[in-house]
Amino acid sequence: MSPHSSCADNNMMSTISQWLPYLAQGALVTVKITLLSGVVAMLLALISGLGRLSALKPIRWLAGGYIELFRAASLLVLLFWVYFALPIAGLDLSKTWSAVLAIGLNIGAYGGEIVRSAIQAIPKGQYEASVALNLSPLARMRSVILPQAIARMLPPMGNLWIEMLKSTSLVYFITMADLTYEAMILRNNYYTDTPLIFGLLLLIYYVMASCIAVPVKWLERKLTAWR
Amino acid sequence: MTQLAQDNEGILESQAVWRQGEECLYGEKGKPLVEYRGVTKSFGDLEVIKGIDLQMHAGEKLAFIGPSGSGKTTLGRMLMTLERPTSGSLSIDGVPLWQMQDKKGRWKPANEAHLRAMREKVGMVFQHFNLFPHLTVERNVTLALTSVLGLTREDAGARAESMLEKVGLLDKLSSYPSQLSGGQKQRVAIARALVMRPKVVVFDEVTSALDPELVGEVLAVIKEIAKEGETAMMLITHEMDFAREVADRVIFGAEGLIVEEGTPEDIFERPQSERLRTFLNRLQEVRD
Amino acid sequence: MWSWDYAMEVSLVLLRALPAALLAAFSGFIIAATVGLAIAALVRSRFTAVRRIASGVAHFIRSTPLLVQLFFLYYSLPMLVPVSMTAFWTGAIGLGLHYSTYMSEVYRSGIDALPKGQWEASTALNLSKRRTWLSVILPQAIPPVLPIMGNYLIVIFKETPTLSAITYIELLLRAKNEASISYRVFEPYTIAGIIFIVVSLIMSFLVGRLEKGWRRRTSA
Repeated sequence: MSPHSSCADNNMMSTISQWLPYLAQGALVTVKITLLSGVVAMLLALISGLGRLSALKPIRWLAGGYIELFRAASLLVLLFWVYFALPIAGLDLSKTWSAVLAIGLNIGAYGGEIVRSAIQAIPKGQYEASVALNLSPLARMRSVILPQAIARMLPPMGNLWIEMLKSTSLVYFITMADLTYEAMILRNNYYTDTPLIFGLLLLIYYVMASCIAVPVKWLERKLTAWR
Repeated sequence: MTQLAQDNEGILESQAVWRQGEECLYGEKGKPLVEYRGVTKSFGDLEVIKGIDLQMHAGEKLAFIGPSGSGKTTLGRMLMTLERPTSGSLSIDGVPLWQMQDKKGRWKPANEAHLRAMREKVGMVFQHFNLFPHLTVERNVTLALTSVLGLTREDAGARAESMLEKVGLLDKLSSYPSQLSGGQKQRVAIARALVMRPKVVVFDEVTSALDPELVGEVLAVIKEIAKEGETAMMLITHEMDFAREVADRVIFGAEGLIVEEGTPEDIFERPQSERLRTFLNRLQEVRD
Repeated sequence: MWSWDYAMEVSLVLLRALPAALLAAFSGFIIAATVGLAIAALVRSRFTAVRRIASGVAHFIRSTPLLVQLFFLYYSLPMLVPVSMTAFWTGAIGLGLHYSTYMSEVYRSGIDALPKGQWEASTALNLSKRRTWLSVILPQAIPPVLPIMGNYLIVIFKETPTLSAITYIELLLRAKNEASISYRVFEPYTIAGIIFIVVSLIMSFLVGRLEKGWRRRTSA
């Protein structure tokens, strides 16, 4: 390597190290939103997925309505609506909670479908055997159906978490200082480095997505040991 | 080293050995059409073919019998280029199937172009027919004629019709496979393989997936074609009566090795090995 | 809080932006379907290097946000290579590339569902690779996955508001502009949301019809 290019490399490295604190700050916000939305989404997924299989018609109907409505909605428009329009109707949420609510509602609807189809994929014999053993409805669900269904849900749920991570970039639109937003600010100050900044940004998201995929794989192996 | 590289090394080594023995004389029948030399095949740790030497001559009808798991099917699939031998050499008309020479004369693994040229001499009929469900009977038979041999649609159609007439399905030209019985499907598959006029056809347990009452019609068609004589046939089969009637030579294999071979009379009337006797007795018991 | 008169007025304005959103969605879909098919074929290549690179690139694209990809295409690509694209083309290509990685999985599921015997019969008949794909594999693999592809058209349509970030005027940007003129935010965003929901539901109804029709034809 010529001394010139190594000097350029050093320059690049020192520039990047100047950016890192900002990007780390943004990444923290991205992680926070992902985790909070994740909790909301998983709760809604479980409730709506089970609700769709309920014996009670109104509950089935309500769960189905939620899933269909929010799967048909556009997440970014929903985010705008929650953040800009809802305050007019008297519900003034912070940026964080607007983002968590919009993303959670949207991803939760997709999760509901995953929960429903995983439970429906359990062979009927499992249900019948647990009835034959005289297990209570709660025990049937908790000890027999859900453990098997969760193993089936894991791969699509892992993908859904990655979708969720990606969708947090939309909070940029409501000027939340997440990873994407911080990168856009850096771009204003280091305009000529735009390609490098966006390349780095893509790479960070990729690493974060991999951080979701790895534990999901591990959990999958652990939960499907009986297979 | 990758598995593939290991495989290649295995077959390239055998190639060198083979070349040294090139001068050795073939029997009175002349050069064989198909020759296996020291062929082995492993799937992972499982060795299914443990070293086979075998010659097949033009027009010869060879029946392969033996218990399941004896590697008979793998032997046929290697000839059709569906499986690559782990070591050893396989040749058709004296040309190695899995190796080729580069410009400097060095041996290297066969590429797709070499395999495609060699496949012109081989055809195969599968246990599960493997007809193309989205194409009519006629198109199933003409597809390779037009796209591989480059025949016009008319010429291909004429050739397909005469072939389908031979298997008794001329009236099914425009049917789809799903509208045919199992026996009819297999007859279409036979027509599809033979219409290409290969020198050797592998029949891989072609009646095993059929209902018992449909076996007869398929065997009758094969017998009819066997009588014409030109095409060499490798009949991998569980039908002993059929093997006896059609084959010039019968090979009994077990656990990846050839145990015994001879004329149908030799094999069925005067079995030499204990293994073959047990195998035939057990079949007899099942039938009684 | 809610004015029906203004709602009607803004509805008409927003509906006029719908064709732009649909155009971007359809263009993105066509790119996704084409590139997705190429990826599906490449990940089945004979060459290990081609397989690895194709699946690696697809995995990277699928793991990173569309918004950042759009920024990259719109703001940094012109600095790297001498091309500059309009917001529309950047959007269509961005959507297309992003969803091509999903589409390739859809094709893959269709291809994997075919019995191995179909490939083997093609080899036994000595068909070329090209001929095998065109005459044997794709005609069987694609029709059953058409409804899933249709669902991705809906997903792509719902993503078009993201294109507002690169100044492509679609429904959301139009609603935003309306809100900034009238200082009323409730009606424009609510109506934009309703339009998306209604159009998505209509599209998924049509996809459902397509699926039913297909089932009926194959079971006959």
